[in-house]
Amino acid sequence: MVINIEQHKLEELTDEVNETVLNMPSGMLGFAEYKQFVLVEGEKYAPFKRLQSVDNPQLGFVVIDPMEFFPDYDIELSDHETGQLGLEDATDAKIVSTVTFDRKEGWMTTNLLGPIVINTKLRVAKQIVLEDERYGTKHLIGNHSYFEDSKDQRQAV
Amino acid sequence: MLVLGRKLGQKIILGDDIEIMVLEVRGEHVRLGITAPRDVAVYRKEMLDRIAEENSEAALTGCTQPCTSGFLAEGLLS
Repeated sequence: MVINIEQHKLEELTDEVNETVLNMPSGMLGFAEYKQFVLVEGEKYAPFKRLQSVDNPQLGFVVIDPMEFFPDYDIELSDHETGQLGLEDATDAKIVSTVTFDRKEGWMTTNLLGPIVINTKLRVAKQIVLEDERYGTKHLIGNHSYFEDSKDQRQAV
Repeated sequence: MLVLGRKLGQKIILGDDIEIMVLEVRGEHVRLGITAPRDVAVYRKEMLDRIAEENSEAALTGCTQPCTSGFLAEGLLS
């Protein structure tokens, strides 16, 4: 699935969004101090979602469900990771991966090497690091173009 | 940081139940054998750094609340 993105400025969020508060005991790698996040999903933004820090309102990540782009994506959790997440059933697990926007080239890539695993029952999540040579941190999912030269492009989403 | 010298075949014990053994030394490469309980995470540091770096590139910082303006996706099936 190739995505072309056009940037629009929304004045008001009109469509319904679903917000799930998640506890991330280890935070995100490199951002370990932020342990409370909200996963924001809405049809209007699909396939994109946002993982927004509660403690730092200025920190957020655009995420996607990597299976929507890479149906063969399969991950294996270590016992340590399964234990930390309290996962008893694979169906309780949901995966999201961060999206990086390369503003120079216009690429959108996703990190398949460090996905975020969510225990939807316990509302606990952890970013894991895969030991899998098939995956890297920059898998192309599409490109985006800007209509306006926004001085605050990083404010998007 | 505790600095220890080990010879090939020697071990280090961490805590009660983590064991590290020097299996092979070849030039600059050391092969280590690690025995640890299932609930202990073992990572190669550079892998963690790689993910942390990607997170930094991916992170949206400086969003004003609520961070609602932005991308609308037009899905195109390829």
